[in-house]
Parts: sequence; C-alpha cells; structure tokens
Amino acid sequence: MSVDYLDSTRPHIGRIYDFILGGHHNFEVDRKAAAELLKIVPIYPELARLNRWFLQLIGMRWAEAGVRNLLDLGSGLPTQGHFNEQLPEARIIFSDKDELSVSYGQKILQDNPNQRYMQVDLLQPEALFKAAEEVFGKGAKMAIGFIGISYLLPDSVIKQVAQFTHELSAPGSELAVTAVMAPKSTQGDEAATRNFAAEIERMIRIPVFLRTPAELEKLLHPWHVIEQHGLEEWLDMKGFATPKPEAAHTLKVEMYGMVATR
Amino acid sequence: MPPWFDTMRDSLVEAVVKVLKANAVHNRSALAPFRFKGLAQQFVAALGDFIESRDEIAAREVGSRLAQQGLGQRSLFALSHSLLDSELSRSSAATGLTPEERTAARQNALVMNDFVLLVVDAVVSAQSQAIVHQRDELQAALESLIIRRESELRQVIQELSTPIMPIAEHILALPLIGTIDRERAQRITVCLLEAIVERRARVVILDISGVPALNAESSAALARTAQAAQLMGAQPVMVGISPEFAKDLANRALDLQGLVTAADLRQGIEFANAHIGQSAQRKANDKRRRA
Repeated sequence: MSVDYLDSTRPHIGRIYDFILGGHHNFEVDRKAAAELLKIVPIYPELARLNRWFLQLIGMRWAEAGVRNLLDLGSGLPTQGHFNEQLPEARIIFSDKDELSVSYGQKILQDNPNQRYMQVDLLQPEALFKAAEEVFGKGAKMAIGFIGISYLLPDSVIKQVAQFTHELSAPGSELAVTAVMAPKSTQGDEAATRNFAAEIERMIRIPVFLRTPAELEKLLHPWHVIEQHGLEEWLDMKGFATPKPEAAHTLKVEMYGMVATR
Repeated sequence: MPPWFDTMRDSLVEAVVKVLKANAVHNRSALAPFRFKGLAQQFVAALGDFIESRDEIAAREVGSRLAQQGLGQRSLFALSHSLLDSELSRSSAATGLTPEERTAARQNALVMNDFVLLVVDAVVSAQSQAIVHQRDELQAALESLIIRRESELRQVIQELSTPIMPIAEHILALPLIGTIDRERAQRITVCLLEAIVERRARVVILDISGVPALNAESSAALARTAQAAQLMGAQPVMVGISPEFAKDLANRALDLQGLVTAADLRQGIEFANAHIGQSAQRKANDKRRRA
C-alpha cells in the first residue's frame, strides 16, 4: 500500500499533474514541486494538456464507436473530461496505484454501478486483469486506455501490460497510449537526454522513460499500431508545446500518441 | 440578434477560436482544442442576444455554462481585448464610416465589453465554487482513506493483541503482553474460543508473564476466559503468574476450579504434552477394554 498520498509533506506526481492542469486536488508541497519542475520542463503545462486532450479525443472516438467495455490504466484523478463523462453508459474499470486517486475516484463513481475504480500497481496487475475478465467477460471486445503513464514505466512492465491486455481482449479491441520522446533533433545528444530524464526523476522521485515510437511499438507487440502522431499534430495545435526562449532548459520533448488494435 | 451583428457572426466565431487557441494553456484542461469552435459559437450567439436584450442574468448564465466547459479568465480577457480592438478600429475615422456609424461602433464596443465583464464575473464565481468543491472532495477522499487506514490498523492491533499460537497438535499458547482491559479480555475470549474449535485444541496455555498488572476487572475476565475454554473442552493452563497476581486472585475468591497453573511457559508446555499423552493413553486403554 502506498503511503505517499497521505503524506502531505512529500510531493506526489498525480497531485502535481492535477495542479499543472489547473485543479485544486493538491497540497502546498505539490505546488512547490510543480514550480521546481517547471524550471526544468517549462512546457509541462502544455504537455499535460496535450495528454489530457488526447484522452478526451480518444474518449469521444470510443463513445462514437459504441465502446461498451473500457479498461483504463493509470487513470489518475477522474476529474472533468475523463472517460466516465465521455462514456457514461459504458462499463469502465479505472485503476491507479495512488490510493488518494482511487478513494477520490470511488466517490465520484459511487452512483454509477457500471464503473468502478481499483487500486492496482501495474508491477502486479493480475488482480486488475482478473477483475476485467469478471466484469467484461473472458475474451470480450474492449478499449484500453494507457494514457499518460507509459513514460513512468520500465520496458518490462509495458511488455507485460501489452501481453496481458492482448490475452484478455477480443479481436477488434483497441489500445490507446501516449508517450514522451526526445525529438529527432536532439536524439544524437544522448547524454543531454539522459541528464534531462535524470533531473526530472530527481524532482518527482520517479524514473522517467523517454522512448521513440519505434521502441514503444516493439514493446506493445503483439498489438498492431494503426495510428501514430505527435499530439500537437493530432490535436491540431502545432507549435503549442515549443519551449519558451527564456527557459533554462531548451531541450524539447515531444509527446505522441498511438492507437493499436488487436 | 441585430442584422449588423449577424453579418459578422462567422468572422467573430473565427476570431474567438483564434483567441481560444492562443490561450489554450490558460483554460481548464476539459476545454480541448476540438471543442473550441462549439464554445466560440455559443459565445458569439450569447453576445448577439445580449446586444439586443441587455439581459444580464442570461449573460451570467452563459458565463457559468462556459466556465463549466473550461473557459478561463485569461481567455476571456483576451477575447475582450480582441472584440474591443476590432470594434474600436471600425469606429476610427480612417475606416470611412459616417459619424453616426462610428458612434454606433463605439457603442457596440462598450456593450460587448459589458457582456464580457458579466461573463468574467460568472466564470470567476464558478471557479471559486470549483475550488471549494474540489477542496471538499480532496478532504472527503482523505478522510475516507484515514478511516480505512485506522480500521486496518485496528485490525492489526487486534491480531497482535491476541496472538494465538498452535505450538503442537491440540495445544494452543496465548502469550499476552501489555495491559488487559475489559474490551481486550472479551476479544481474547472470543478469539481463543474460535481457535479452540478451529484447531480442536485440548490444552490452552495463557501466558500472562508479559502483563504488567491486573485489576479486579481483568483478573475476573481472565478467569472467565479460562472457564470458557474449559467449557469448550480445553484444559486451561495459566503460566507466568506473579506473586502479586496470585495473591490478588486468592483475595478475590474467583472461581479457579479446574485451572492449572505453572511457573513458566516451558513448564506449561510440559504439562500440556503430558496431559495430551495421558488423554491418548486413556483413550487407548478404554478402546482395549471395550474390545
């Protein structure tokens, strides 16, 4: 069981993300950490929004496609615009490692018997996939949200998630994922990228994994990637997350999204 | 909606989308770019209505709805700037308008400004409410976590306060540590009786060497626990009795019939083994006699 959530003396990545998105589910320590983080990633608010908007776009697409079953990994706080609002009739299992998000989510979802929120560490996802099998039925067609979390997970966990979800779902199921990469222009400068990731890791106390689309696609096997774009392009916001000239760190990171099918 | 406004509608929607896009990071995250056009259309339609009706309540209601969709103050200020700029430019002498038309354009700019101010008002109010609401939600989520954690801790404490250990077949030991009050004594009795049934225990050793002091209530409770064990068919053995406790038990004239005492846990276990052995021997003898 995580104890971070109750410790308002230590910043928490979920609450920092909430603050960056303009939410108020956070403590002073999170806001201070966010301010520090902004010094090294000044475009974090833009990246966080791109990520959240992508979730909404995918949610809208899945709602239009009539998705009935949705498994969401690393859901965070199900605040405005999350899948529960986009697909109110669908059966949704939200999940997160952070107990505060889970507790909050359970309160939000308490009036919707079709939707539940589980506390799950993706390092040990068996309980989540068992619950999905029980709720959706074995081999059911489903949509899987894997948004805003892949860059906090090592390769082994992503591989495991891909395998588990592939086994769990029926052909025609979809998986949506977002990831962070160092852009082509800076890929040659591996040391700078490594330092950058290390510095972020020091700030949020969680390792950060930057991956190219090709690297991520390999990890997601046997899912077939059918669509992949930078989030700026996908959301028609070209140049939105360009570093400000006054930033101490001008090393640009890019977020991209992928939709894969089973 | 006035006819002059209707002719500008599409270009106004376009201008609003442009402003929303430029200020996207200042809106709430719920306002995704693919919703900009829809929101711009609502804004422009409401502005047109306001120019005609001057209905402040309706303007505030629109503001609340737009705030719910994620429109932020900064975008509104930028919108205000853009609208005023456009209307004031039209009203300048260089545009070739008649003086009456220029006056009308200035008037329109002021009305638009009034509308935006009302919307800002509503957005600020909605944001304040959202802050309070979200803080309450955070507090409620935390409280529910604390309650859950307390319940888990209580469970752990209860388990630790009644550490029943099976030390051999049919023999249970209950090493008690710390103060025993009425509630704990009751819990000990319940847990011990359940364990006797579950483990088919025939001897239970109550080790009270770790109990610092016993008052009248706890002495009586322990005596009752021993009696209850006996009723369930298990021989109670109390070990680790201090001289003070022995004296206290004697003074209180508690019913201690059938209670075996031993100096320490080792002797208690020796007694238990012997008791089980004797019992087995008796059963074997009875079986032979019947045969």
